[in-house]
Amino acid sequence: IILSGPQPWAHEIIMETKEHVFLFLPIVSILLALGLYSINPGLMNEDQVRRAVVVTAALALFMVILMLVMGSVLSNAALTGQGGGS
Amino acid sequence: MNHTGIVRFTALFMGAVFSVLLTGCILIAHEISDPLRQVFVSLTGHHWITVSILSGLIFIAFLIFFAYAIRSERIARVMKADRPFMWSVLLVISTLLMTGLVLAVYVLRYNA
Repeated sequence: IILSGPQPWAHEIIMETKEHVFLFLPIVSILLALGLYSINPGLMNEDQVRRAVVVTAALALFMVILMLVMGSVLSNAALTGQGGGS
Repeated sequence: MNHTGIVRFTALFMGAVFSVLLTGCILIAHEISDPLRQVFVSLTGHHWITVSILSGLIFIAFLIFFAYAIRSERIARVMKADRPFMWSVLLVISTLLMTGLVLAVYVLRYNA
């Protein structure tokens, strides 16, 4: 539907990017989980450790939002291809 | 300062950074090279499944590698294993870089 609609780039570029870039998200998420699991109370007092956890969590959030935005673009392209949407 | 704990904590980030870089290179390579893509298809039936499995194995391998490598004080010093924040920033840079490069490959292919 998207490929045959007025926005084929949404499939060729956004869909393909989304399905491949998604592979980075489990790496970041599992890292965050393992990092938090390995932290003991003493380690949490270290400024470097706290900042590293915050940066990683922010990266994970950014990746999730990126997936959301890409999904929205695809949904809109599909709707446009079907004759609706903007 | 809990030096051993910090070094072990940083080893996780090292594994993640190298995993993202290698996975990104594999993603780009299999989009550029049709023979490589066909190899991936022949392994599991779909290139994406093969890349996903490879990505997971790469991550596990790097985590194990750095968990052992970092026990050497010399390697820990060279790799700056007492700076987890630096490695988290490197993770952000490598992830965004690979994301941008993957996007660029598809944009260039679409416009070709």
